[in-house]
Amino acid sequence: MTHCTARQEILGTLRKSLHREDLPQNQISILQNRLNQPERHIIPKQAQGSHGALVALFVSKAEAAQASVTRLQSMKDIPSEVAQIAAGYNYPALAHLPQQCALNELDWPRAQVRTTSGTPTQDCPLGVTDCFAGIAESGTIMVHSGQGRPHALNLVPDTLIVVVTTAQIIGAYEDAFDLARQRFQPHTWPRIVSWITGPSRTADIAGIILFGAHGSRRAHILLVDSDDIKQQE
Amino acid sequence: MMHEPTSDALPAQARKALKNTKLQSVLEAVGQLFPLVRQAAVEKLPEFDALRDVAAQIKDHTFANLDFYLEAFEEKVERFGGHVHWARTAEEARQIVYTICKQEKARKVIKGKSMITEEIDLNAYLEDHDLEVVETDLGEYIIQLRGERPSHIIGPALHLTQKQISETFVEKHEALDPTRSMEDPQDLLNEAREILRKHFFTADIGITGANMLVAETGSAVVVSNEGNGGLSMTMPKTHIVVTSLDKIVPTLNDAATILRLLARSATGQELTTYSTFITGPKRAEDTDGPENFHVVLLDNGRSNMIGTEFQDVLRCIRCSACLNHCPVYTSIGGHAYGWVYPGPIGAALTPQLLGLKQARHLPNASTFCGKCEEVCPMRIPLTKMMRYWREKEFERHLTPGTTRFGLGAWAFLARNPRLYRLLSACAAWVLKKAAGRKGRLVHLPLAGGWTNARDMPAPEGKTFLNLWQDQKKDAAP
Ligand code: SF4
Repeated sequence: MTHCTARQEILGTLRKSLHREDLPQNQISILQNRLNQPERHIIPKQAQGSHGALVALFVSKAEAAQASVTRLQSMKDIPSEVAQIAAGYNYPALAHLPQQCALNELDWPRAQVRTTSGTPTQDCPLGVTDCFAGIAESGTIMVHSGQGRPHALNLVPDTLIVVVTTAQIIGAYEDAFDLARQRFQPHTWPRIVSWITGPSRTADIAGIILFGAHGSRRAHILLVDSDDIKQQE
Repeated sequence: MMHEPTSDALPAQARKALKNTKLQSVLEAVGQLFPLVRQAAVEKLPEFDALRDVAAQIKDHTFANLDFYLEAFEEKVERFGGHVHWARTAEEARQIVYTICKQEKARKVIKGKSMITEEIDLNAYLEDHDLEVVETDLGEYIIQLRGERPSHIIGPALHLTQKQISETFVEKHEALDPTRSMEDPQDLLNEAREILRKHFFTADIGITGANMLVAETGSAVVVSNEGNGGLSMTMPKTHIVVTSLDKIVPTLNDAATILRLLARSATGQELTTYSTFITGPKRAEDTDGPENFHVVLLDNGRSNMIGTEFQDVLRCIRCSACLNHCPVYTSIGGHAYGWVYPGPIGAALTPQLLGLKQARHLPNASTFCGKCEEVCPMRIPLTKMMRYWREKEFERHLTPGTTRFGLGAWAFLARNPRLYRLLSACAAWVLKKAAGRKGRLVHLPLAGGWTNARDMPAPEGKTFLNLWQDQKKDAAP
């Protein structure tokens, strides 16, 4: 039983190092509280502006992280925008979507784009996904895994297009966590919660910054002004 | 074959590094570029310094209640169907990982970047047991092909030029046309991307480290710019997180505070491209993800550091800022330090992990300019720790006569900072004349036996301390 002995021994050493036995009950309740009602520390002032200011901040931060941002009037504009991006890179007009998401209900045939879903294979030129939130303080997209939502779709496509609505833009990381807590706790939590800021990159070849190391070579954000997209189920 | 530490040969390794012109050209860039991008990022966040104080407090609070938070973390991981394994030593951690590989009848293991797996020399162990191990972080992949160890915490292959890397690819990627074009660094990247992508889809086990562990949700936090971490934890049937128990923070909000510091200090980004929170294995309804999720929690002496003057070093988030700003690191590079953790963090941590006999030179590889502390996002008193090891070492009389004398004198001066400053200020103009080449120096006042081999940025008629303080003045608004 190495496991039990190792565990007990490590915890025992820790308590010895801390010059105490197990924590007293009142201290445990204080700590339990700290876990159940997570306090916020310093939130950067930038991340606390008006909603309009946060949307502008989101755009400028995402662009600073080498994502491109296109603003659209309506969800209906998405398929033709995707068709254009696909044509621009000489991709086949095929978009890989999450299975359970409002994007599937758009009129893709009219833009002559075929759609597919499931876990992407090694060769996947174009992925299009919605997201859980857009975090203004760093121009970050927040996604999570779940039914019909393979995490691989956030990484494998050569070009990743993320749809976010202005209503989904929030200020700080802590706001993003609060949203997730409301959605998933107390009983569940997704296997993956991921923050994506711009395209994949590396500086491992002599310090030169290159895009598309393992994840997407390009990240496009479609920022939809109307709020008619259903958030991720 | 497992790697033996060679920290006890630091003086000779440093001399060799100083003569390596290729390495010197790369190091010069490291020493210039990283501080610039960090500074730019820090200036854009007015709350940066206040966040550093909070981050240090978060870790101190966590350490004071570490038993509680580790158990809370374990409970959450298990609630979501994962397993936590406790490892007292490197050997125990290696065996736990290998046992899981055996249970899964694994043949191929892919890895995301992880310093703890370097600390326990996991690759060599698994390879000795007939597993194929593929590093997927580009830098780690390059040094794996070359049979080297990382020279920098976040840029493991930063000691290599592009030409050296293309030569390695030509030699090791035998199936490809040896006359293919390798001029553009993008060619190299594309080649590696293609080769590694196949491995993601065919590996049985994915091993990653963790930048943090979160007790609130039982999550491991993995940050990566390349996206290899995300693929390593998603494509194979089993995901093993190999990490150490000091990585834990209580809540996601605590993690957010530290994430605001990490990328800015490391690469000057506001956030690393992929910051991912992994909690347990694939859920029943999930479309992808591993069936098995394991966390190996390594102690390796850390529980003994809690409650001592060395507890502070456990706050380290491995951002590398102290390396990038260190005049010694940027002169001799990472390999000269002879083990996994180079630079100031290595000098403070390695003696604890390997013992002073092996690591005795590391705390001497410092000019005590204080730049490391100045930039450390977690406010770790690195020079205080190096000083402590020097004194210990002096007491133990492990060094030969000349070094001992120098260090003895140094220790005396260190306790009299005004005298030290005065003395080194007097010596500065002499040092400038003594500089072997422009902007570098080869001697330091009273620092003992092996300083002759050291080559550091020479003060322009000023001490490091003057210079650093001037720079700060210039930078102030
Ligand atoms: S000691 Fe500080 S500066 Fe150095 S790697 Fe650790 S956190 Fe970063």
